[in-house]
Amino acid sequence: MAEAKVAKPFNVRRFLIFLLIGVVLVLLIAGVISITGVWNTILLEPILNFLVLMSKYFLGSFGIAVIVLTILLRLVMFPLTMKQLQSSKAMQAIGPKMKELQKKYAKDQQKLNQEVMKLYKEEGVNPLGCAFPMLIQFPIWIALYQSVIQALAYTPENLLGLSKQLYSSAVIRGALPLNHHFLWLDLTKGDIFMAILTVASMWALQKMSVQPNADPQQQSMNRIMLWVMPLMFGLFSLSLPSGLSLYWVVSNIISMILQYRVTGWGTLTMPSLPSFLKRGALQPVDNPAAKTEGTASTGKKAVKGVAPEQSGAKADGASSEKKEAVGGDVISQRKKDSHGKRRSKRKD
Amino acid sequence: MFDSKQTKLKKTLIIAILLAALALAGCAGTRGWPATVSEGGTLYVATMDGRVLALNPDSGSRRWDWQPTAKQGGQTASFLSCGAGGSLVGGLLYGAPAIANGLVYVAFHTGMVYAIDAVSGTQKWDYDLRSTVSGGVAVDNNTVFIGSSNGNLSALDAGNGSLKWGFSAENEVWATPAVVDGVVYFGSLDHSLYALNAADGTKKWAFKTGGGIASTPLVVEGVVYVGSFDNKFYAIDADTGMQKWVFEGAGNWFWSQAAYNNGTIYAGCLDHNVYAIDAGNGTLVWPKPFDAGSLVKASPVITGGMLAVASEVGKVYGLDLKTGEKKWEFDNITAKVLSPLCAAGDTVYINSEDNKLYALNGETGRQVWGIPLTK
Repeated sequence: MAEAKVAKPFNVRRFLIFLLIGVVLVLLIAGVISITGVWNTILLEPILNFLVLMSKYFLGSFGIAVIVLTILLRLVMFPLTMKQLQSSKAMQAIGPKMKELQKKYAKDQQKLNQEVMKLYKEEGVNPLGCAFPMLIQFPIWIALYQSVIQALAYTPENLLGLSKQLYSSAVIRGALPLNHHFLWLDLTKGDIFMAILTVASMWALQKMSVQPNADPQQQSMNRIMLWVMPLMFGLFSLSLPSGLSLYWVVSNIISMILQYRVTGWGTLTMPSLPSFLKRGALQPVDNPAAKTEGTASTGKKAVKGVAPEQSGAKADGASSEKKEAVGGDVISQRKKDSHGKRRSKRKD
Repeated sequence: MFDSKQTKLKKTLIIAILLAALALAGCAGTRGWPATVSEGGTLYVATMDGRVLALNPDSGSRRWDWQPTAKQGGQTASFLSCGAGGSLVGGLLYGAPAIANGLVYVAFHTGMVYAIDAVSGTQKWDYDLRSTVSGGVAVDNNTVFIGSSNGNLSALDAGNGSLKWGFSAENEVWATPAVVDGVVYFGSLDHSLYALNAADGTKKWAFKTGGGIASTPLVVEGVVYVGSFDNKFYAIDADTGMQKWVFEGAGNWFWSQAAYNNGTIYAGCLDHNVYAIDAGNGTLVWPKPFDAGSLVKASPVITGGMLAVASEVGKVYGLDLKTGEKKWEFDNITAKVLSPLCAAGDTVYINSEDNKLYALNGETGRQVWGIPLTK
């Protein structure tokens, strides 16, 4: 006999989203609207005009407007950011198992893919969980970035371009040109102190995000990543308008707060000055043994004496024993050692 | 499924390149809007690549070609900034040179002002304003007037380049000043139009509008005509600074000098329209404004009995002065046109953003010649 079919409930929200995407695609293909036009109308112009309007009402200060808008946008995107961070944490938690599978099926790519998919299913992890929220947020960051550059209008061409993006409100148009002085900054010019703040905040964020790894090659990669991006943005901050550095610094600080809520301090530690000088500032950042020490001394996970990736695994329902059984790698062994040492110290 | 070390490195590099491109995207497109002036049978042309040329107006052939020999001070561009023409020896140019006393005066965006011999093309003097310049220069009675981004209007001795006096506005001065009957008129981004005594820089009056003023004022028969970023166009008594009338029908900023002919003011606007306004009462003269299709930043000129107008996308139109009806259209320019147009006799000269100069017959719109201005 025919089995009774279970009808899927009709998802109105999903239907409307697909309908909207479909209509936009048809209009794009038909040439009724352009990609630039859609981008400007939906993202750039609302953010830009809001920024100009806020400059008018927040003591005429563009600096305060940048800070407020960055915070507001981060609030709007808070659910997405948290989803991304949690997915990222979950992915990191199954890292040792993944590594074991890689080792086990190094010569059989197909089997490896199958096993990985199986692992994702077992652990309830969506590999696109990190990418999707990030993809959605990315256009908003670009639009905010463009808005800051355009609103500053530090060249005549910028101001001419700005005239095309502004709404016809007399309040908005009358607000220009914006006051580009904020604290000690001329927001249209690069600033050494803002460059230092950009490097420091980006470095700290990277340190919080990076996960410990025993693989020397991976360690080396992490070290490069840890310095290349902050230094690159530091270089930009020296040359590009400091209004952008202000946006980067505020955005980084918010990201750090969110990152802390999800993963704690990560590999970011606050070593005492003597040990810092003794060890040297450019020591490998993700030496697991050193990291565990640091975490124990300062991180919020240190209360339990558990390294971040372990706590992450626990949060996802995987016990440390299970991790060791599957992974059995150097990290797990070192963690085990460090736990033992710490426990014995406490006993003493 | 998994990334090898090489793939990860590649990914990192791609992200770095994308971020670098993103970071630099903000300063893309800053190129200046250099213009041309005609004096004594010679065209003096400022170019997109930071040079000044003297050309034969009939053929476009060069009489001399000048550029600063090396960076001589001024506001230099940082290595990532493309905002000040970092790769150019002299920097970017906004506006036209000014000619007087056998000298050509030109101000670069870097803040360097130069005087060049009009016949030989050799440099006579230079002066560093120590602030960027986003407009042209005006000369009158042995004095050169230049506005700069630090809010100053500087008056230099035209003979030796020494500073005579300076006046500080409350915000940047991007507009080219106008000097008439011993009074210098200029707008500032502080929303005001200023009138100063040209001899000593003392303020006669200041007229406040609702937006920044970046266009050159037009002074005719004791009235100053100027458009503002508040979408309004003003007529102000040149003696008292009192408003005579205001035109409020535009949909965007005014950013070009108006033209005048027989009691009518012709003003280009960033709302794509060209307005013909009665100089006496501020009412519209044409049945409807002329729609140029894209923003009108280049100042219109009257030549060959027509109003020559250029839109941002490079289309040039010849309009009937009385009705605004389009008489001809020239669409062979494939680059932006933002520089003020120049009229001499029946010919209109147009600097385009691809560093070319076009000479068109003002009456018919036919091209007389078109030459690249590159070295």
